[in-house]
Amino acid sequence: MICGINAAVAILSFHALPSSVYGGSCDSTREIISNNMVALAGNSGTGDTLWVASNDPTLGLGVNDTIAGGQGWSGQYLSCYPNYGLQCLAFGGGTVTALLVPLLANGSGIDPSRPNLLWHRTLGASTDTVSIQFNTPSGPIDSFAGNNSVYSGGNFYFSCTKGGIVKWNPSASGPKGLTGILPGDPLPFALDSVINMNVHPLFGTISAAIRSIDLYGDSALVASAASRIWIYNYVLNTWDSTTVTMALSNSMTFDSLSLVFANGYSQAPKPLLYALIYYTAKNALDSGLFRYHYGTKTWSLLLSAPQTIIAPASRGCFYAVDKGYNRIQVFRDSLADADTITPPLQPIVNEFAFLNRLNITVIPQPQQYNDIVFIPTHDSTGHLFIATGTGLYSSWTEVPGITTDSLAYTMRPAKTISGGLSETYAVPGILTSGFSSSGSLLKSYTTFVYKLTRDANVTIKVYDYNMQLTRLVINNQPRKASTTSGRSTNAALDIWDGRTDSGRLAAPGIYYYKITASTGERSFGKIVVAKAM
Amino acid sequence: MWLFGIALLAAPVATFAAGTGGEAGAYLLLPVGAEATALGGAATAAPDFYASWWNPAMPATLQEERLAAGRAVRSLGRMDAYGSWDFHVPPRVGVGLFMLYRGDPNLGDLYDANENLLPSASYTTLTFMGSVSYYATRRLSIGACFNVFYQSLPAYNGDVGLTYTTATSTGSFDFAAQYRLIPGVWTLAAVLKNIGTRLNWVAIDTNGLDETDQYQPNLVLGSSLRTSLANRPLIWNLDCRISIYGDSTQSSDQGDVTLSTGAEWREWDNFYVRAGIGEVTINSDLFNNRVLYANEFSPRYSVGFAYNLTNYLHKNTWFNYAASTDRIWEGLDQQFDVAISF
Repeated sequence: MICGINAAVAILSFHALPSSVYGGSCDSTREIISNNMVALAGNSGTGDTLWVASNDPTLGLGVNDTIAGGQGWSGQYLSCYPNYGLQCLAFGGGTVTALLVPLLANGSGIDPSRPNLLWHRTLGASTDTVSIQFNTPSGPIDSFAGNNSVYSGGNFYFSCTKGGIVKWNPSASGPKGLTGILPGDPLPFALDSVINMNVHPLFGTISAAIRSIDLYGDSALVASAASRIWIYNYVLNTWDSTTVTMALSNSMTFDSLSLVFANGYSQAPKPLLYALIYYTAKNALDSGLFRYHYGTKTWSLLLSAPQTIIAPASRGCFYAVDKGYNRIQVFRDSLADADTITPPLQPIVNEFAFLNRLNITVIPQPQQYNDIVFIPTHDSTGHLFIATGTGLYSSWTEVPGITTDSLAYTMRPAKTISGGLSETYAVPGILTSGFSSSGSLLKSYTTFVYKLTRDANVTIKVYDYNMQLTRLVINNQPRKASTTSGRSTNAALDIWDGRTDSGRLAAPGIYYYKITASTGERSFGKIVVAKAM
Repeated sequence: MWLFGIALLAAPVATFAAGTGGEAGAYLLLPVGAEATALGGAATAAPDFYASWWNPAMPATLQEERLAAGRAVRSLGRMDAYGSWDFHVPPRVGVGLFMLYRGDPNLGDLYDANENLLPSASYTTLTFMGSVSYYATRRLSIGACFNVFYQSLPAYNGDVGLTYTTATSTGSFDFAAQYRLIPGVWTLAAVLKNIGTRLNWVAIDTNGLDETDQYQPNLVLGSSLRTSLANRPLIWNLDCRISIYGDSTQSSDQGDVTLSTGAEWREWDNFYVRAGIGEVTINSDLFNNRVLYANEFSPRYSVGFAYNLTNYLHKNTWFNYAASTDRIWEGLDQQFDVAISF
């Protein structure tokens, strides 16, 4: 499933929703974790606030992580919805809004017995303002799942795979702000029922499916159905499917449409349109990123076999994640409304230098570079975000497309998860070794107590006073996140019996242990090894 | 270079497989003195101060008395305080006295078996050394040092709560020889340390059972070469420490050779700069399992300086400072001392 996020004034991104969207337990006292992010939206007009939706297995779905001032993670607030998955996230009008779908407890699919949630929060607020519950009319509940959401003109718009477009006015209270709009129908209808919204005969049917939407100029949306693109003017309530045809150039035959987006920052007479299109060429089905030419009413291929993750940036640049090679490529379109394109588009920068910066400078070892989730960009500044399974990376200096040198990224990871490793100590802290007064060997040991806020691999090492490694207790072993009152300690393995790696009893003295989590945190403590008393 | 050769030859014998820590007397392996620390802990051949600690054969070569004292603040709460007095007894004898406190005075996060926080405790070691050396020839000096070691550790007994267990060793010796291969230029030394060290642990609330620990004897080979860099004096030191295992159960799975080296550049007359690297373990993993060797590679990187305080204090008074990594990158180990020659 493709899910895209399009913030009205800032960030536009398209990414693949993780196949196993998972909802788990909820601990609202924790901060959101930047890893496992599934969506991001931002606003350049109010302090570069970045909203991140994190889909962490231990927290359920958390929403609202912020970056303020463009320089650092300033605050973290969590709204936790166990067993809900994120479909879309958008920012606009000082409010961030997310569409959440209910999931089965085992994460295997949509839970049809529970309604969707329309979650939103006003910028600066610390709590949710409204959670609207609503169901789809007929059919499975996921039929309403929107692939995109955008904000424009005071309203949020959600694409619906069966339901057309749903408009929501955040200034209206509760579900009264919900309106249904069907392709070709100039008459929006109110969706004021919390449960069954059977208010229009076509609402909820496959013929009304909208796969994606994006802003199109100042007062319109561009929406994609399976084989047609609509331009919807939400001021005049008019639908137009004649402006854009689905004819392809160069003997390619259109098959189906995946998603469409507009470059709203070009100086062309109309916004340039780009689309991911499946097509047939030489009797083979293929896919590619196309750009539309209004003059000839044809689509021209920009990138063949496009990467699954495309992030449009400013000045005609595209970032694309090539999953096959674990790399990010940077492309730049001419931004001209021309019908002559020599495919494929070539990367505009020295790829090796770019990748080296990413691999060496950007993502410190042992961060994995090959699990990029999505790469949204900040339209007004060109900042690139690289969301990986191990954290969010961003650039605050780069403006793509001006010069190749401008792609010398100064990236930084997201804020380390505070409290990710906590409450570490050894029990008991004084370990008695040697022999008892009766002559029997004392089998005492100490247990390393610790808590993790997310699953992580843990290493525990013990050092002597000279910081010489004495015992490798566990090495990179997976440990579960703790529950509210529980611990991550494996009581059977996370212990030290006072022996060295070679099996000898460690000499009496002070020892220092280090607990390292793969999330990047570490903690130190002290253990006394004393002789038997 | 010959020390490197010895280290490499000895490496296959040192069958270190993983951590070799946990030996009795591990606290004695950290360098003493800001000068020696800045030089990576390589000061055995010709230490300027703390001769009893580094090389008991050294005082016999002195032309003046040397008094030094300093302290160290290390990562994770470890502390040092130390002082020494080395002097020459004409015509051929030298004497050195040395005292060291080393410990961790703030053990504030200890829990009992029921996870009750214990009162703050401390770990204390005291070391006293007295050395006598003899100027045998123009090239050779020999010396011996008598050591007293004391340790105090917190212990816990469910009946009496937190208490302390102590140990003292009074029968320990170091033996040293210093050979001036090229007098004034190149000095070599061999020091045999911790011979006969046995600590008898006595619990304050004892059931009558004492236990004995034996410190690890070490052979330290040192070199100090005086050369030049950019037409200014450069002192290059190199130490090679070889662990000696008298216990067959230890020698089968233990053993390590450790290199330390550093240099002092005297670009300015009153300000010397120093840098070094210490605790570079040479063992069989270097040849057999380089991945493991790289993972466990944890040397001590150090820098420091010496500043002449003659204009402010007594003649030939130097302030020394050193900062070094703690081998696990948790913090800096810092040392400073003031040393006087008169």
